[in-house]
Amino acid sequence: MTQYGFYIDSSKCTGCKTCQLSCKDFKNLDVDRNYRRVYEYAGGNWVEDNGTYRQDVFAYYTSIACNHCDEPACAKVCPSGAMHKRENGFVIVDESVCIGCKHCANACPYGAPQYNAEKGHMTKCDGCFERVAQGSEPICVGSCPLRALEFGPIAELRAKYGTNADCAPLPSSALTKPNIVIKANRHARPTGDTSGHLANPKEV
Amino acid sequence: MAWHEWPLVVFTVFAQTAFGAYLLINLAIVNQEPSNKTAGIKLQFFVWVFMGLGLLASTAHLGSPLRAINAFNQVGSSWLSNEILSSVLFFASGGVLWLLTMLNKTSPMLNKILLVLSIVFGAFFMYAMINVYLINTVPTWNTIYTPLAFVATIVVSGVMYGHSLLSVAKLNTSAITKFSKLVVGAGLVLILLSTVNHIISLNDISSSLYSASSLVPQLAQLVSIRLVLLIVGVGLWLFGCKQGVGLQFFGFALVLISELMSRGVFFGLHMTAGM
Repeated sequence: MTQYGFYIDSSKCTGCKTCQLSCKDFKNLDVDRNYRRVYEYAGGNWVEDNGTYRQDVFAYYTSIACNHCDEPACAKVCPSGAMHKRENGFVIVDESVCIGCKHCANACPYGAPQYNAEKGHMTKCDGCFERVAQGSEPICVGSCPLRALEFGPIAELRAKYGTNADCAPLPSSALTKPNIVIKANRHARPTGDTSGHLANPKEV
Repeated sequence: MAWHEWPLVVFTVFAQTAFGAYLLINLAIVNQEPSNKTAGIKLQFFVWVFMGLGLLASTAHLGSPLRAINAFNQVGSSWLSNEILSSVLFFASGGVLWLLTMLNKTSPMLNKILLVLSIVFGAFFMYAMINVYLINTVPTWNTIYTPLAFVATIVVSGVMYGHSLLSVAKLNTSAITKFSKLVVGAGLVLILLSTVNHIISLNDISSSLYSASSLVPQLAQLVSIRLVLLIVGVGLWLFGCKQGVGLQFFGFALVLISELMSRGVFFGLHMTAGM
């Protein structure tokens, strides 16, 4: 089995949200659902510096979809087994089995499983596994004008970019073992940091 | 308050109340003469009404209720599956006992088997319900206050309801009344202490995006109203244990509302360790 994953270059990302929109378009998502979301984490204040005051405001972006975790919190709590990890490593919801209890959404710390009220069951990022099977990459990756997203076997991505999967506002990667590699922005704060806030709550 | 989670608020509180009442009624009649035993089991109709309403409410939580049968698929590995299966087994075993008793078609042996089964299923159901919410990615639920709150509902709301029913059917002995008062009193103290500690503990829980203490608007007011209802309700119920059944039920009703509010707050306190 090849476990695929995403590389997210937060140092390049400008928060343009083309990834979010290309996914929305390709997956035909309604207003309430975004399989990929760009989180803007911002903060800062006036700080005293040798008798004068200067600002240290910061803001940076993290583009997050399903991380197809090694230990998916969503699948662990799912009562129907609809939420499952496939042979190829993608975490998928079988929409013909899901009963729509939304407990996966309670458990996932990345907001990946999203409820479709019209269908009455959960939906989520499937890693565009059909495109991947045909040798293409997920739609979000190809759409990124900054080339800040990359997709491939996670082992290769880790060999190339290291193993970091933590930064605020993401949860600790120890919880679900997400298959992502993050290149931190120069302003990046560590996981668990509370000095900033979500600057775009209505967009995610 | 999590109004949108009303099906789960009703399901959890009603099921816990039903289980507590079921235990108390069975405890009250265990050493009584056969005719009283029969009367006690018939009285359990009102327990199963509660349980049935809870189960009915829980289906409103599903986006695809017609597929509800799939909820059993992960029995063993998913606590939600375990919870749903044991809730149905509890309801079925206790309900069959009641039905056979109503139809006069039961034997002491069968009675005993069904009674033991229903209590075992019920106890496991309560245990599973707690575990459903102990998710390591949900820091506000994955605390000692979840089992404390759930057990407190069984002990306070359940025993109050059970005792009120016993009083109507005149099946309560002075010993069982004394025991009920003691348990409800202890449960009240448990709720008061754990509420104070719980609210303070919320200050220590936060992710980069959310802090637990600001998840529920008007948290302090809601908790205050809930505690006043609880204390007044228990007081009226204690008074009603001497003065009359009506007062007992009125006190219980206030406590039930208080418990529903508290559970609404519980669901409103949902957050994950991330986003």
